[in-house]
Amino acid sequence: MSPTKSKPKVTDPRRPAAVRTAILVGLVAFGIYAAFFVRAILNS
Amino acid sequence: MAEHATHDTHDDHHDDHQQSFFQRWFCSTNHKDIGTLYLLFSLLMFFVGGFMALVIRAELFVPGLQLVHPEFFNQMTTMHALVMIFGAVMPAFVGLANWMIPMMIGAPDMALPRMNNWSFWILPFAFTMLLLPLAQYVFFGVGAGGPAGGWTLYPPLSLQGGNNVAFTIFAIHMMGISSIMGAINVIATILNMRAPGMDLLKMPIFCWTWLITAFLLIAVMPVLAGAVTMLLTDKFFLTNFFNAAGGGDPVMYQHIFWFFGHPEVYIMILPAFGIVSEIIPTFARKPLFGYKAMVYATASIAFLSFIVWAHHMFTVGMPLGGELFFMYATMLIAVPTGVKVFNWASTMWKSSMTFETPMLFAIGFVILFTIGGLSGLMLSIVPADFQYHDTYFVVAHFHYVLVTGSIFAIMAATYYWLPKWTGVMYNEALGKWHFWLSTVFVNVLFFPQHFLGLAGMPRRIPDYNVAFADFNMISSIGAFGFGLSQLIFAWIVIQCAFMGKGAKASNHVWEATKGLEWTLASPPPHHSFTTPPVIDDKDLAHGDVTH
Repeated sequence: MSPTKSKPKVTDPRRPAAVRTAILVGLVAFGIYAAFFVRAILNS
Repeated sequence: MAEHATHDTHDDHHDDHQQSFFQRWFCSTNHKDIGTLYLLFSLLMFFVGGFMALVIRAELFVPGLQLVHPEFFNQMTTMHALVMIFGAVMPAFVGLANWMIPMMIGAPDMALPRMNNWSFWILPFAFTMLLLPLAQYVFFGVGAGGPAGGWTLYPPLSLQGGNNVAFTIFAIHMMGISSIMGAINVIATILNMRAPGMDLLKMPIFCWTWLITAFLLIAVMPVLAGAVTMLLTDKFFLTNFFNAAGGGDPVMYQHIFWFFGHPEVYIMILPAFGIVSEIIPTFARKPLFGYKAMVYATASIAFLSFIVWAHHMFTVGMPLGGELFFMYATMLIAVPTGVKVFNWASTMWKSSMTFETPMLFAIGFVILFTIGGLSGLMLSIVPADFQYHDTYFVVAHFHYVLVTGSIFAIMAATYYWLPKWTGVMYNEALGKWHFWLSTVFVNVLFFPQHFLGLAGMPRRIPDYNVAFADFNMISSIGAFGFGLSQLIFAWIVIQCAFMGKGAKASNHVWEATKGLEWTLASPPPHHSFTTPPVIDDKDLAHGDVTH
């Protein structure tokens, strides 16, 4: 492994919260898309 | 706060700057590189879509059918819109967001850099798919060409195409996924990655407009995806969502489409408002007048954009109460938009203005976008819209909003931040030539279209009554002038970005810049703000929010 790769790695402490926000917002977007199909299936 | 923070473990390998071309540009997780990719892709699509516009204007230069047959003309109008909206304007704004938002809020990168890479690299594949049927037809004579039913893809017309319908719908899905991932990244970055002390109401206005735009994208791109998925199943899987013969409702498609389509208009203009709100204070050497009012006006416009969609379809026949509601709701948008225009004017009032190219484009934006806004107000009036609907008046209106609005703002942003990105100043004389030629020709191009529309010339037709000949000829001359003027822009970008030609840019670039992005070197280092900056309110463009 190169010296660059073996450097100690520090994770930004803000990242977990950012990932949670991203998942939440992504679920909202997917939910809006899915709602069309739920409605279509219920009406079929 | 003093803790060392890098954005993640994944791109430590950038630190040695020994990446191959493939690694740097194809596998990049760096917001600056991905921003550059978005902007270059957008520039390419701007010229592809612009070429299609010139085919349209060449055909319309004189009455009669000259150059292309009507079916191909319809493909040009459809593809011009799809390429310009999804390929040129939206990626340009995402590119600007990628470059500037982390630097403006003191973040080391976007919150989700790997997803950022994915967001961009979906786009070339999406546009290959979108353009493939047309390219096959043009270059090899294979197939029937691209979609020809208009960018709105109204059924039943859009479903009368061949397999290009499937290509278009899959391409739109991919563009939608790209946009949603880009929006998620912007929201997560702004809400979670701001430097300590960078309160929401201290953020640069560009970040605010993009945050609100990102929420619009999250809300409406899935609606477009739902609409086109139903089109797909109607075409290939025998469903009847929009097929009247099977109990479906084609007007329902129009409602769903415009529930996406109207906020989409604001997706393409709110970041432009943000750009202009950054540029005018710099060259007026005054803080932005009414910072908080600007933020609230942006949020108001975003909210109203969800309750005005049916003004695009007054003529389909809807209850009078519906027409009145959508008319008054549409007129209401003029209030927060007016707040913005007056705030820009008030920022310039009694200021020490200079007129470098970014400022020229920003002032051009304020004046010409307002013309587009006023013609929009005319279109919002129901009885008047029955006369204007589907005429060139509408074409003139939305081109004033999107060309002298969105695209002028993108040009302004490029001139404003290009020295920061590349480290060299662009050629100011060429920039001014670009501005003045663009401004003169864009008005020669689009202003006569108001008269054509008022006289009754329908949009999306390859031939027209000889009564419309003169204004069409003037408009086409303007189109070629405007198109050729953009070559100056391309040359300026090439000079700065690829040849490094020009005077060295200082860190602050312009005399009166304020904000974190200007504290970095020009060009900024590959990684910026790996340690969160210490924020002094005096250094922020909007540190004094009492304005």
